[in-house]
Parts: sequence; structure tokens; C-alpha cells
Amino acid sequence: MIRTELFGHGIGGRLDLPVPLSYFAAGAAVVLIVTFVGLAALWPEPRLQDGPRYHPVRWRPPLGWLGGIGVLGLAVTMVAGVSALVAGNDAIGSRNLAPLLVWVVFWLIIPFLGVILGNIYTGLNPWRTLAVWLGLGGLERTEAVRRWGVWPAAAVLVAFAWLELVYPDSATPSTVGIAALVYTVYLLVLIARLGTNTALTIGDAFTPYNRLLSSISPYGRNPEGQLVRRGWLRALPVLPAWRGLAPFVIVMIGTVSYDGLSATEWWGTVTGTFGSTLLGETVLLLALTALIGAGFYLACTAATWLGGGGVPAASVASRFAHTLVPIAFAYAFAHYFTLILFEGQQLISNVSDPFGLGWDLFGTRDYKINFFLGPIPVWYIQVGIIVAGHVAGVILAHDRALADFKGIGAVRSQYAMLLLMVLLTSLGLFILAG
Amino acid sequence: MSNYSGKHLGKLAILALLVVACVGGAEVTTTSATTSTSTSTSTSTAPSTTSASTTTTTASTTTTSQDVPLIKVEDGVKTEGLDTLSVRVGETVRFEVEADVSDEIHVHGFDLHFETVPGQEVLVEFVAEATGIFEIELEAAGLHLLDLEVTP
Repeated sequence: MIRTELFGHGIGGRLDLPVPLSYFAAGAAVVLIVTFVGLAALWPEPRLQDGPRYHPVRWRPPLGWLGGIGVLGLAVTMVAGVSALVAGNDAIGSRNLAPLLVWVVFWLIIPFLGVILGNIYTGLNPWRTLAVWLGLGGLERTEAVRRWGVWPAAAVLVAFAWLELVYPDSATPSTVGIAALVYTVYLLVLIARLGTNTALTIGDAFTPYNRLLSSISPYGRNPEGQLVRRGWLRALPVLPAWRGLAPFVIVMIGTVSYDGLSATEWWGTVTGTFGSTLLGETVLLLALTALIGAGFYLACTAATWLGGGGVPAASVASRFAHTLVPIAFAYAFAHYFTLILFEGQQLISNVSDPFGLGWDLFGTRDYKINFFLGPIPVWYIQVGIIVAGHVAGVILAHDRALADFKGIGAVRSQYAMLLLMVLLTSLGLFILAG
Repeated sequence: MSNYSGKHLGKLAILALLVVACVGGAEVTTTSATTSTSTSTSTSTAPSTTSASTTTTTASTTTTSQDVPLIKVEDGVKTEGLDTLSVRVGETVRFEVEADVSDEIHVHGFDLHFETVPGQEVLVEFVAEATGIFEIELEAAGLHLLDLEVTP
């Protein structure tokens, strides 16, 4: 058997043990039951399409300081990255805050917190704050959003995932420091040309990424910008119909699938030595994402047929893209939550020596990771979140089908989407079972 | 209206969790049995070349009755040794590394470092206190040596 390297992705040198077959089977059984029960028992009239009812939040946290925190994080990342180059301690695993800030805090903790608390990234976004400080991006050229949608953001997300999952030196401080520097210049130029909100929606992958995930949250803002409570998942059906929304969600699912799948033994045997070369990994990352995209568009075409025509497949794709967001979140959470819990603890030691210069600012330099969660609770949480994501997807798709297809077509059109969701969820479980 | 859908959501979530709990819980005992078999098979595949050479290193290695797996690194490439070492949690991990360079063996997760000496077999020995699959690499060379699989 050819064994490719399991590690070398992003940060961290620990993987979860594969989920035992019994958990996999249990999860898959629940998914099938829930899917059919859902089809038979869920409401017959659309309920989620008119948008949430907003309830004002009584406690209004002061959020003005978030912007400063975001800029501080960006500054530390760039300084730590460059200083590692200068000091010559630019190795994977060396004590430095930059890789942790990017791969754990920025990429995982902030979006995942947003799923519960609402979109905290809007406040934390360092480029939004920098634009204000530099006086850039006053005039919004909103026609650019209509023209481009989130297509450029989807491309940026692919590039970011490539840096994380394929690029060999992704965990070195200088890589993330330089990437942060380049990305900052790119976004500030875009903001100056298109206006802050326009540029961030189109070109900042993390703005739509956090917006989509935080739409799961019961907290958010109403159209007037006030903090409100609105119920879980309620913001997803009323997301803006950006062009490229479906591809963006596909990229979210495809890249995490690649990360998980490429660490399984099965993947090693199938892709062989080609799968462990730079070119091979790049091709396979893109191919897997394209494959999942093709599956989605196939399901949309089938839904059009079964639903009695009338709605073109491309339109079905963008109308149902939001139903995949909970599945995308479940994939990411199941895959990365132990990384946050365990490797995230390195923040405690590395914050004392942020630039890898031998400092001990807070006396926590020698803190060791406490692996406080055993494999059995981890497996439960992983399978549980995958199943929960599937349930949420089924509910959202059911409601959207009732709104978009009439009569018996509304039921029939769901067969295609449900089959796709069962396949995606099974893939998620298969990845966990390694 | 919103209450109605909320109730459904809750019911489905509870149903899902219950079934996972029932089926998953019943199987926990059987999984520990299967992992023990995989442990024994992987140790038996370990190369037996170490028996002759262990006398040159520390005394603790010679006292072990089992062969200590050896991993050889020459010219920046791993030329010999197993790919995965499996132990149960709480057991002692024991393997040797012979590299032709001065470098550091880094056990990720546990964050342990062992210095290599060119031409010598260095014993790596520690208690595996957490489950998971951990990467072990030759740090400066960035060379992946093996995966440590710690099962419950």
C-alpha cells in the first residue's frame, strides 16, 4: 500500500482517531430516517421565506473596540511573520503567534463563534477599520456587486484553502505574515476603488464566509442595523442573492472535504504518489471541489425536471445554495473543533513569546497542551454535528421547495436535493471514519 | 408560525441525538476490543533489525524483551522503519532513530523534543497520555518520520 503523508496541512500535528464504524452506521441511519420523516412530516406551507421576526436585544454590548482588536491581530501577524524571517526562526512549529492567529483564530474561532453569537467578523474585520482610519472607500459602487457577486471571493477562498492545505510551508510564520501583507494591500486597493462594503463583499472571502455561517446564529442585525434576536437558521433563506453564491458554498464544502479526505488511508491508496506532489494536490483539491459542484448542479437539474419545469437549473442552484450552509458548517466544525480545543491552547504559550525571540511576557511560555477530551465524546460531537447539519439542510430545502415549486412538484423536486444531501452527509461521515 | 417550525426543529434534533446515542453507546465496548487487535498486528510488523545494535545505546533499551523499532534517516530521506506506531493510551512509546545529521525529533501534540546524534541510535521514550494520531518529524529537516496512533 502506498501511504501518503497525513500531515502537512495548515497547523497542528495531531489528528482525531477515525470514528468507529458503529458511529458511522448510527449517523447514517439517523440521516436516512430524518430525511424521510422530514419529507413526510414537515409543514405543507412555506414558513421561513418571509424572513425572521426580529426581537430587539435588551443588552447592547459596546462593540467599538472590536475594530482595534482586529487591526492589532493583523499587525502582530505581519510583524511576527517578518521578524521570523529576520531572526531566522522561521520553521514550522517554532514558537510564533502568526500561524496560530491566522489558521486558528481568524480562520476557525471567529467564524465558529459567529455561528452562535452572530457576525462578529463585521466588527473585527481589520481592513474595514483600516479603511476608516486611512479615509478610504467612501463612495460605494454597488453596481459592482450586481456584476461580480461573490465570484471573486470564491476564488480568494480557493486560494486561501490552497495555501492552507497544499502549500508545503503553510504553517511557517513568514508564509502567513507575507500572505497577510499581500492580502492587506490587495483589499485596501479594492476598497479605494469600489467602496468598503462593496469591496469586502466582492473581494474579501471572509466577509461572505462569516456572513453565511453567522446566518445560522439566532443573533444578528435587522435591516435598520439594530442588534436583534431572530431564531436559529432564520437569516439563511433571506440572504442576498449574490451571483456566485452557490459556487462559494461549494468551495466551502469542497475544500474541507479535501482536507478530511486526503488524510484518510483510502485516499492515499487511490491517489498514490501523484496525490502527494504539489501539482497533484492542487489538481485534486480543484477536482474534488468541481465534483461536488457538479453533483449540486446535477441535483438542481433533476429538481427542475421533477418539480415540473418552469424554474431553470441555474436559478434552482442559487435559490438552494443557502440550504447547504449548515452542512458546510457541520463539515468544518466536525473536522476542526479538536484543533481549536487542543492546538488552540498553544495561544497560551505563544502569546508570551509572540515573535519567537525567547521572551516570556506573561510567564506562560512553557504551557503544555491539555488533551482534556477523550475520543468517545469527540466522536459523539463529530457525528452529532454532521447529523444536525443535515437536519437543518433538509428543513431549509423543504421550505424553499414549497416556495419555489407548486403542488406535487414541491414534494418531487425535493427528491433530488435530499439525495444530494444524504450523499454529502455520508461523505462527511465517511471522512470522519477515515 | 415561528413557534411551530421551532417545535419541529427541536423534535428532529432530539430524535437524531437519541438514535446516535443508542446505537453509538451500545458499540463503545466492542470498539476497544477491535483496537487491541490492530495494536498487536502493527507491532509485529516492526523491523527486527534492532536486536543486534541496541547494546550500543542506553541500558534501558536492552532490558526490554520486545524489539524496539528503529527508524533510519540517510541524506535527508527515511530509508528504514515503520510508518505507524500504535499504542494504547497510558502505554510507553519506545522507538529509536538513527540519523546521519544533528537534528531534533519533534513529537507533535505532546511537544517533546529529542536530539539526534549523527551515526548513533537515539532512544525516544515517553508515556502516551492522550489519544489521537500524532505526527513525529525530524524538525529542522522537515522530514516526516512516522505517525503515532494512540487508541483508548
